Amino acid sequence: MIESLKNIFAVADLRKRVLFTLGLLAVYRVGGHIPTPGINPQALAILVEQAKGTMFGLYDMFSGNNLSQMTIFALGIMPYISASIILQLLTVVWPYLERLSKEGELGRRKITQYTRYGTILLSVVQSLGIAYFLEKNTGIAGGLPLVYDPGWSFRLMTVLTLTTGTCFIMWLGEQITERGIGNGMSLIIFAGIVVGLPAGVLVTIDQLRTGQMGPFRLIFLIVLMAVVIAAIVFVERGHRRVTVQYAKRVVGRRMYGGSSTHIPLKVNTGGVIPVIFASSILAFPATLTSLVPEGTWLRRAFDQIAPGMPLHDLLYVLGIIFFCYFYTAIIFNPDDVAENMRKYGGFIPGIRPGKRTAEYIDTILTRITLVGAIYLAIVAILPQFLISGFKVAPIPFIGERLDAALPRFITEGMNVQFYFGGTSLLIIVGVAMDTVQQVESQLIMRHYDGFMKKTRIRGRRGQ
Amino acid sequence: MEISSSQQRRVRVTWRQRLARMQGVPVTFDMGPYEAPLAEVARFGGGIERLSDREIETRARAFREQGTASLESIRAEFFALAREASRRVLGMTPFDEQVLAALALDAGHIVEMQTGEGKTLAAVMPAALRALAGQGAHVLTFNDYLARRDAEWMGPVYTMLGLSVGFVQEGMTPEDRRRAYLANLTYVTAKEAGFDHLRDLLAMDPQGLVHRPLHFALVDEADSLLIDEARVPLVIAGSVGRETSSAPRLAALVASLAPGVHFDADEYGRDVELTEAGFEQVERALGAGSLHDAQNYRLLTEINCALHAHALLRRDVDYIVRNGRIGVVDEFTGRVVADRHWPDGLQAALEAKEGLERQADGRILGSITLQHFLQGYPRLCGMTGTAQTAAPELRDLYGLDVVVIPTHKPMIRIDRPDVVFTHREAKERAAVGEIQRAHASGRPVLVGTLTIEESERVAARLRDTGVACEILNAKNDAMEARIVARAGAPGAVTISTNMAGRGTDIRLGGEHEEEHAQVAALGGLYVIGTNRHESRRVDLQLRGRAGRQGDPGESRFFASLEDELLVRYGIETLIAGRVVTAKRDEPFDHPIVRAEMARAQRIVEGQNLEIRKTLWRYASAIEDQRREVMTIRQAILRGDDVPEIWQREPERRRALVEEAGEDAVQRAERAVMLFAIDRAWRDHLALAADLREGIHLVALGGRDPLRHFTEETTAAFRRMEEAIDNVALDLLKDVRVKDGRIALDEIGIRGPSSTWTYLVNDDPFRNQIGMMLTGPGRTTIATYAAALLGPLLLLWGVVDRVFRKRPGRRGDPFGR
Repeated sequence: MIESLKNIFAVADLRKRVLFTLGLLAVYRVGGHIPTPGINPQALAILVEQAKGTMFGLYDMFSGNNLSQMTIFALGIMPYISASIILQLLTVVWPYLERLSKEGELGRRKITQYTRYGTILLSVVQSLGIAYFLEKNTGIAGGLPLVYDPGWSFRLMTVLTLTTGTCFIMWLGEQITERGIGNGMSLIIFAGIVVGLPAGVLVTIDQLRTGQMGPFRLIFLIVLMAVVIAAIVFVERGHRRVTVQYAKRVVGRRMYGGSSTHIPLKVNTGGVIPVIFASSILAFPATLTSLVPEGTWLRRAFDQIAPGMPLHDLLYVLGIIFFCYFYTAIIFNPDDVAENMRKYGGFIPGIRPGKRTAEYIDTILTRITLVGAIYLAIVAILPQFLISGFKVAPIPFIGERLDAALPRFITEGMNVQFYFGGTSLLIIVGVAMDTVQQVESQLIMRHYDGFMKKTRIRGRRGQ
Repeated sequence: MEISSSQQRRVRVTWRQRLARMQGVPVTFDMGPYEAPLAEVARFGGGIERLSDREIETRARAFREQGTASLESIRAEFFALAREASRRVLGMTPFDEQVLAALALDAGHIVEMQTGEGKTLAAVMPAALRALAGQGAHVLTFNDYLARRDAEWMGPVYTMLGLSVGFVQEGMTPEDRRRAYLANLTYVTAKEAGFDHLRDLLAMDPQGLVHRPLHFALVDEADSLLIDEARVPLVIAGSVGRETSSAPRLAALVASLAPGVHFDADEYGRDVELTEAGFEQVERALGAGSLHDAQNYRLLTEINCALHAHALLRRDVDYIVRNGRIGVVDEFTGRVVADRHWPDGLQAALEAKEGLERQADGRILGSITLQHFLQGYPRLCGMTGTAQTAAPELRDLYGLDVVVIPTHKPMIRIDRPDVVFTHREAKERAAVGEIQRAHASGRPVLVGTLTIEESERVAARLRDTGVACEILNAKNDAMEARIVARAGAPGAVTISTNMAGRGTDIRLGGEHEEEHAQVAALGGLYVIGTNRHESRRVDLQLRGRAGRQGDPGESRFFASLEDELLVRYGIETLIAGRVVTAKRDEPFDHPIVRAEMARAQRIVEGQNLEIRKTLWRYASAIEDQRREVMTIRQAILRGDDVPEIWQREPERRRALVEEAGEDAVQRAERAVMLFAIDRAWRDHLALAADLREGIHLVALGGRDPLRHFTEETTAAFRRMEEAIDNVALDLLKDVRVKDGRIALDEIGIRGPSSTWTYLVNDDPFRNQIGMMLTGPGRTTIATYAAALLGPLLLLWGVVDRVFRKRPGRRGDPFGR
């Protein structure tokens, strides 16, 4: 570990990249402390408290709490990502963009440029939406005025501030990707999430001092964290290698060697996406709850699937498993893979190319995805379980009895302060792994020069 | 001599060019920095004009002896000297524009001069200046013919400056090559120079080296060499004897298969594969069980090669058969290249297909991309007629900027807009009609075709209509000089492949100077292209055969929606449907069609750029390793470094020393070590090639293929040291002393008896746009997107699944 760090700083170029990245992330954090003008912070805090558990909470996580504090970076890079997704979508359906995307680098540069324009457009729309939302909710926060001076000057100011903020973050991200290390956008989100860690540690130390938490519980917590992170790393790296044989075959004018290679089928193909899908869909009713009049059947249904309810947890787990399969099916098409292999003369030993190969890959994928899905569900639900347990009481008929029968650490959790939710945990471990890998390969590429210098191949004389 | 002012050279800079400049495209039209040196050259010129030949020689010698320390300070005077020398011995005085080009070349730029503006002469000044150092200056030409022609043509100028000139031709012996490289200046094709470099890296003793350390190169037709051809790595292979092969049997078997039933050939994608029925048929015929079982890999490979040779390689397009051998046609120069093979299995299959005798099998011994080879020159500059569109790439890959030199006389060639047809037949009919019309008026016509086959077809059609014409293609390359010399004569019609393109100088009036005016009055040379090429630069080069040095000229391209350019890349579907309804004989007169054709070319250029960049990235990963090994190897070769691998077996070594003497043992040690290094390197290259093959599959696991490749090859490279040791120690055990000498031959230590080059085009690994969400580093983006745009993303997935164009077998999940 220390050795690797030393290596990073020994290679001048790498050192520069790492420092550059850290520098820009620091800039990002500074911006996260500058509030958007014209908003009453106390009223805002109350509003945020009320919005917990809704879509708002999810957005807030990704913007690194910038949204709930209405800083100049409140929009985060959300508009940029929306814009790139929309452009990807249009590329499929709009011939002009399709041709542009085929024009190589120049075409791609143009698309990138369009993405940036789209980002600005979306930022303007979204920030205007936020401005209106804040003005409208002025009454909600216990009578405190949320916006000091509603009107067009406030709206324009908000639009200008938030749009500029987003453009700036976009620029930061691109700079990091280009001149720093790792993927800029990922690291910015990463920074937003982990920034809560020091505060969490302070709280824990405080709890230890005041006796709220015993030393054993602390040790348990630390061990548990380590185990969970190790498990995530283990499963995320896990893949099934499907051997592919290439029988020297010529494509174009290139000669292929008789070698074997493999397709690494990941255990968890979808990454954290299925969890996000599941939670964003479950958060949807929670967002609407306040709009539904109390006492109606719809409200009762919404209450049943509110966060913390057993039905919510059940749907959450089922949703994750469903989306694991769903998402894998979207991004990984065994037919395409089989077709590509066949086209370049590859085959899985003993299996005919084409349809049968696709079936074979599909079977393997179906099996390992189940493992991946169960793992995801466990990781996603674990933090909540540790904090507050499974509230079985509201289950109809057997709920009461179950509640009495089960030990308290199941029904009420262990009251352990777990800093990160399952989603955040998966994201930070993912980004960290990506970045570490990139640093590693940079090190490998630079490290071997001169490796033969001290070897036996060179003689002792004549040096 | 008149001192020209910059006012006279009013450069026409279009607003588009200004815009490009503002956007940081590395092209400059500004002659400002060269005006002062130019004036200085002219000032020296006045004095030098009065010197006698003898005095010029003396002054040149003084420069040579003075050494290299201050080339900058003598540049102007030396250029003036060279200018005067070429006036005296060639009767040609370099124009001011040529001197400007020489100055820009000397500053290390890529110089764009309009075709016919006299690049060859402009190159003399900077090349001679760098040659003064006595470390060898290379002028890298586009083809062999030009290497020889230019060296012989410009030779007298260099001689007057006291500099020796050599040139290298295909098939020259190592001795002749060494002599050519020892001259002050060497004219050689970049490929030959590169292959000599590769062969040097396989030399078994220092006397076998032909190159000196690389010093300076001036690249002619720079865009072609630095960009188009950079895509083809130079690969050198050595014979390993002949392996038994079932190629003839398989060739017969494959020939009996029915296209469309047993195999599907995609002619333009250069891809062919057996169908399910084809596999069954072949398996039945061979009786060897499933072809996909482990014991049948080799057989399957041979069948694939046989099928490829049968279905995809076209005689008189991709190769010709001459003297009982396959001659591979170079796709860039249109010429047959000596000692060029297809990779082994395919070469054997092709020989079987044509019923030829089997030549030796080979293994790849070394490879380098032209890019990496050229970067080995401490000083590099280049010139071409078409650099502007390639400027960004030249900057990215070589760090070279483009300087555009104004023309000496305004260019008055008329470039007609393209004539586009729906189908090929109509296009050819129209082109032939146009040739007839032009021919009837008496002006010379040059027709540029794509393949040997097409050139012959067009010629046959022309002859049917009673127009006599000459064909210039790889089959009659011996007559090239003669055909080109006559191509400008009144009434001449020359049908050519891309052999007449770069570097071909067609003089109006042909061999008779007095007819120049007559042809010029008729409108000069008329260039007709029967296809658009893969790159706009190639089109421009063809047009550039007309309108040289202020002569009149005209050019026109004929194109159809069935042209290979469009079909091969599947672009015709993008045009068709919008404007085309049915086949018709009249050309389109539609601006949209022309715009779409231009876009098609941009798409192809873009794709080729991707290919080159990918090749570059993968090659660079290996290049560092190659340098490392080769530095050690050359140190051992030169005796700067003495291997003592056998010290670890002291008993054995002592016994050998007693028998053969210390010197012989050391020599043997060196030979064994070099052999072991070469073998390990050869195996390493094979491993890297194998690894590359399926590397795109790792992207499915969310890994970056290039990163994976680098890590794996680096790990293998680290293991290589051990492999070298083991091979060397193994050999030691087998070494025998015979007649007081150590017999190395008997344990197989010798260089390859013959070497040849491979034609290998690498495939790109472009990431599919849809892979965006699974690629490395994208995890969080996708996550974020999923959270915020869940519904949109789902929609995307569905749309992508349903609407994405899947043109049958060509559909490619990786977009390669």
